[in-house]
Formats: sequence, C-alpha cells, structure tokens
Amino acid sequence: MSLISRFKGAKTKFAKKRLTLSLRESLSGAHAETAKQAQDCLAASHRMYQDLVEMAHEGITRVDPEDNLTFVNRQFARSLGYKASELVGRSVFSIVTKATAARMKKGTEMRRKGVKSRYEATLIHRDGSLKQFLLSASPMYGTSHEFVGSMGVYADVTEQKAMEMRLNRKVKQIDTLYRVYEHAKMPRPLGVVLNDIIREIVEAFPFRQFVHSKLIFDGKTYCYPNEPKRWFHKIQFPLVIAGVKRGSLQVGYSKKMPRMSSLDSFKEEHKLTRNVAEILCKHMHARGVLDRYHEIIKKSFTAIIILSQDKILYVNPRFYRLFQCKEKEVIGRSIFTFLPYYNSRCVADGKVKECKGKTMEGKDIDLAIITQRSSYHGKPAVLARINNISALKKAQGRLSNFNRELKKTVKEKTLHLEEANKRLQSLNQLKDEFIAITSHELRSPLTSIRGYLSFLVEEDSLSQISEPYRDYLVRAYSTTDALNHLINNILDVSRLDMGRFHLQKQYTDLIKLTSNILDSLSFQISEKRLELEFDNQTGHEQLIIHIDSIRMSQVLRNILDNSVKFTNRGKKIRVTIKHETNLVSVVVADQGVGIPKAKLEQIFDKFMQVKTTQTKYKGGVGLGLFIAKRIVELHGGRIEAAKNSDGGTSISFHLPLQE
Amino acid sequence: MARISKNIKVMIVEDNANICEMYAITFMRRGFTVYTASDGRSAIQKYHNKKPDIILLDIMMPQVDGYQVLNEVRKDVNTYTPVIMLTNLDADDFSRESRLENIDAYLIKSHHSPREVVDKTIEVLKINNIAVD
Repeated sequence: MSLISRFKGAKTKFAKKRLTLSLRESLSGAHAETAKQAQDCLAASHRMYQDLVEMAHEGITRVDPEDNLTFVNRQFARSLGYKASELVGRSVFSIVTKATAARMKKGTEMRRKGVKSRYEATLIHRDGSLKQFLLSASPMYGTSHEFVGSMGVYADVTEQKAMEMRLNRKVKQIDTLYRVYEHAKMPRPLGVVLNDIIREIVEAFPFRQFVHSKLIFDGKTYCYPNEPKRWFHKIQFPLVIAGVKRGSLQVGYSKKMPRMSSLDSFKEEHKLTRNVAEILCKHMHARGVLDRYHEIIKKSFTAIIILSQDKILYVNPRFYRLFQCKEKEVIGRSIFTFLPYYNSRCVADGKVKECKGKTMEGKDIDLAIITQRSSYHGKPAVLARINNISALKKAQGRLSNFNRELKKTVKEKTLHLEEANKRLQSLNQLKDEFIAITSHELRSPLTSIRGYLSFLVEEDSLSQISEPYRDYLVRAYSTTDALNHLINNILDVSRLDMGRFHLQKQYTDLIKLTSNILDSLSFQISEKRLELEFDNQTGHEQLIIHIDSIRMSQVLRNILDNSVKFTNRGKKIRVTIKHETNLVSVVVADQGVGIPKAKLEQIFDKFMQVKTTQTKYKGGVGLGLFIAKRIVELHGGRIEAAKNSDGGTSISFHLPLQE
Repeated sequence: MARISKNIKVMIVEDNANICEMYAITFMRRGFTVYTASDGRSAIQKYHNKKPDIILLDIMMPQVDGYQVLNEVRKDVNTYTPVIMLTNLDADDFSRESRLENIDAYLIKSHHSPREVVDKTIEVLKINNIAVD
C-alpha cells in the first residue's frame, strides 16, 4: 500500500516538472547555456526517476489504449519469468488468465472515463504457473487531456494468497472439528451422530466435490456421500475403544486431480482425520458408559428419585410403574403427592426406612426408602431410592398370622399332650401300685405259711412229730419254696411287660456271687445226687463288675434251676466263668435231656416249655429263662443256648466289662 | 447256737399280727429284747421311748408307712440306728420312694425264713459293732 502511494506521489511530481520545463523552453528558447543546463538537469532527473521505477519492488507497466504493453519495469518482467524487452509490444491479455482479461477489459473501459481501478489479477508465468497480483491501474492522459493509456502497478500477492488459502483451510478444519465436537455432544442416536460427523469431515477437505468419507463401526458402515469405486489419497484411522478395535474412519477422493499432489500430501487433513477419530473414540467410550448407566437406571427394580426442596426433579421409569403415573404428572410435583408421610427434615443418612406411599390411583403401598445427599446440575439435592415391599409386608403379615395360629395350635396340642402325659403318669403310678400291692398281698400269706412251717421243720419240733406227718410237713414246706419262686417270677414278668423293671447296679464280685448261688443249691443237688463242677477260668480269685447283684443271682438261679430240673440223677452240671478282653462269660452245661435244635431259639420265650417224650411235666410255668434273658439284655449282654456234644444243653451269657 | 446278750433291743414294725408274732418269737428264742409296733405312728413313738438297737421295718402300713418311719429315724443325727427293711415289696418299689443307702439291709419276707432274718440281723449288728457274743 505504502509503495503504491509513494509511487503515486513520484509520478505527480514528475508530471509537474515536465510541465515547468516546457514552459521555460517556450519562454526563453534562445538562451542555449541555460537550455543545456536545463537539459542536463532533466536527464539527471529522468535517470533518477527511471532508476526509481526500475528498482521498485512492484511491477510497473504502461499500456496503450489497446492494452498493448508499452513499458514494463524489470521487476514485473522478472516476476513472470520474462525479460522486459520480450514483453513490450505484447498484448497484456496474453499473459493473464481469461478471468483477469475480462476484468481488465472492464477496467480499461472505466479508465477511459477517468476512473481508477484496483483488483486482483492472475497472471501466467512463463512456466505456466499462476501468480496472484494486486493491480492498481490508473488512466494516463496526453497533453491535450486525451486518454493515452493506463499505468498499472502490480504487487505480487501470490504467497499472501497461498497463506490466506492455508489459513482458510485451517479455519475450515477447526470449524469442522468444532462441529464434530458439537455432534458428539448432542444426545442423539448413534447412527445420526456418526452420519453427521462423516458429513462434516468432508467439508474440511479441498476439492470438496470429490471427497468421500466412510466410517465402519461395530460392523456397520456409514458413507458420505457414497462409497467411491476407487479411493485416491485415502486417509484412514482405526477406532480403538478401551483397547478394542471396533472400526475405522476413512476419508479420500474418488478422483485423482493433478493439482492434488501439490497439497503437501494432505498433512493437515491427516491431522484432522486423526483428531476426528480420537473424538469419535472418546465419544463412543462415553456413550458406552452412559448407555450402561442409563440401562441400569432404566431397568432398575428400585425407583430412583432426585428431589430438591421436596420437589421432584428426576425419576426413573420404575417410578412410573410403582406409582402408576406418567412422566408429565411427576416432574416438578411435590414428593408428598406420592409419599404423604415423607419427612423432609429427616436426615438423608443412607439408612433404610419404611414408609407408606400412595399411587396416582390412591392405592396404598408399603415402601422401603433410602435417602442420601446428592446434587443435581450443581445444586444440592436429595437422592431417594424406593423399593416396593408390599408383597414382603403381606408375606410378613401372613407369616405372623401363621405363627399366631401355629402357637395357638402348639399350645392346644401341648395342653393335650400334658394331659395325656399326666394320664400316662398316673397310669404308670397305677401300674407300680398294682405290682406293689399284688406282690404285697400275694407274699403276706406266704410269709406266714412259710415262717410258721419253718418253725415246725426245725429239728427240735420235727422230732416230736411222728411219721408220716413229718414227711407231709417237709413236703408242704418245700412246696412253699416253689410257690415263692413262682410268685416272684410272675411279678418280674409283669414288671418287665409294664416297663417298670429297673436295675440297681453296684460293684459286685461275680465269682463270689456264683459260688454263693451254687452253695444255696446244694440241697437239691445232693438230693438228686448230681455232680456239680465249678470251673473258674479267669485266673483271678475275684472278678468285680458293675451289675445288679440281686437280679444277676436270679439269672444264675433260674438257669441252674432248669439244669437241675432237667438233669437226671447221677449226671453232671458244669459251671464255667471265662474272662475275655471286654467280656465275662458264664456257661452252664448240663448232661440233661437236651433240647431239639429247632427249639433252641425258643426256650427264652415267655411260657415256653419244651415237651418231648423224655420230659414229663416238671412244674414251673416257663418264665425263668425269659426273665434271665431280659435281665442279661438290660445289662447290655446276651444269652444263648446250644446243644452239647453229649446231648445235654449249655446256656451261656456274656456281660460287657465296660459300660 | 450262739446266745445273744439280752441287752440288744430289737424293734419289729409290722402291721400283720401273725407275721409280727412269728418274728418276735424267733428273736426272743435267740435272746433278744423285742419291741413290736403295728403301725408307723407307734413305731416312731417307741423309737423315741425305747431307743432300740436295731429296727426291722415293714413298708406298707396303715396311716404312717415305713418310709416316714425311716425318715424320722434318720432325722436323729445323734445316734445311728441300723434299719433292716423287712417287707414284701421289691427293692425296685422301695428305691422309688427312698434310697438303699439309707438302710442297712433289704429283706423280702417271703424269701427269707425267720431264722435267716435273725442271722442277717446279727450280721448287720456286727457290722455296726453292736452285737456281743
């Protein structure tokens, strides 16, 4: 600008000078010296101005009215790759583009009318490249003010233009990026966002009409405006989200243009595409996270509400279902519409509280509510989570009802059981009393009979009685023994049957107990002339075990009574005591009439007596071995019978040593 | 047959007169001093008055039974008087009401002849250092 104005100034001065000189010439033409001086001066001035014109940085031209170049300065010729002499005489249109030529013609017309013009002109370099110039053209007049041509000053703005273009591209790219950001920010369906973005990105590319963009994401392809058959200068970036490649962004050309190669291999576009791809990745990631949270909130079985000053700001879909209402009925309303008993002053402490709620239809529901301090759009708010516990409450109600019923029933049953128990107890008592009274009543007369008879069978008295009464007396006395035995057995059986049989255990020497029993049998033994052998195989004199001594004596007594009863005169009975690791065994083996093998098992049954031809009725009711078996079993032992090799029977019982 | 010092006092508590007499005869023949009581109340009275050396005690008696007599005798902490239960109840029935540790012997009347009862009594007396030959 400053150059042009300076040049303008110089030109005006130059015109004035010439005017003054010609005046002087005409006034004093004769004065030769002065004229010579003046001529020298003029030549110096001419040289000076010529230098000025040649040295200028702008191109300076002069054209005649037909727009043929009449003068070009060196700068002008150089900037187009010519020599000044090559250009002079040529039409100016031969070195400009068509568009500029048209513009120039218009300018010439204007200048004829005395109007200066200033515009951008595109000139063609000798090598064919285009150069941008800012052209200031002004009309030139002859001495008689006729139009003699124009003078043009060309300022080279090619670089400036290129800069401008680059700047424009940059602005476009930034603009595109900004818009891509905007798209990515908008909460719209993914497809719409991606379509918008690929549309935006092509805007930033030069040769706009041939640009195509393509985006592949999660198997779906988005193209704008369509997918070209062939790609040229394709720029491609992968879309990697959270370390997983999920697609790619591609931008390129469907046509190859010769001028494309001059665009420094799309460095800027590369950068842009990469930035867009990065934005896309971030957007997808954020969208994924958001979608996840959105899904959780949407599908949650807990109603979620955000409140501020008891006004509802947000609810999730579950809330609508819970309270049977629509979205527009909820937002902005007071929480008390739905929770009439909500206490806004209660601390939002994150603890579960139970609360009654009311649906839009006025139905009461039981709720569990948790409130927490939170914020909504930067302002303090309360986050409330509500669960429907109506079903739970109902179930609880039913359960407590059921419990009540159950308790009632149990109480009734317990009462019945207690009564039954009482009855059973009294029954047991009756049984005990029955046994006690029976034994007492049966034994009392027997005591008298036996006692008084015992006086008579004592030797002093017996000697005073004559035969055969003496024998009768002895028989009567010994029969009372049998009767006593029978009564005891019957009482024991009834005790066993009624479950009123108890052991009185104490530590007892089994060897002494056995030999005492054998001693007490000596009368019957000697009467039957039997041989009795006691074999102590324990290796000890004593064998202390924890048993009911009276009952154990009864066992031995009952077994031996049987043996004595069924063993014929002169035969042998052998009693053996053995001590094994944790068992004590007592075996009573006789040489009696023996028991058939088939009957061996049955001899311990109640009222069992084996009847064969050899065994006539020998008295007794068959209770002895039954009682013996039961007593042994009550001691935790077992009893068994076996046939001896010599035909007799052996009864053995085994008692555990440890309890 | 060893004669026992007349100083030994035996109290027979028995409601059945026949049986009571039977034992009384036997003990007297053996030289004991015999007191008899036909029910629990007189037995307790006689225990306090006569201070017997040993008691033969029946259980089933009218009004005051043998258990009550036993309790009364065992209440006296100054003297220990041996007690032999002489009854027709089984030991099972007895241990429902009292404990075998409270007594010195348990005899069933129908099992033991009067002579055996006296023998057992002497045995108990010897154990308690009362009997003198």
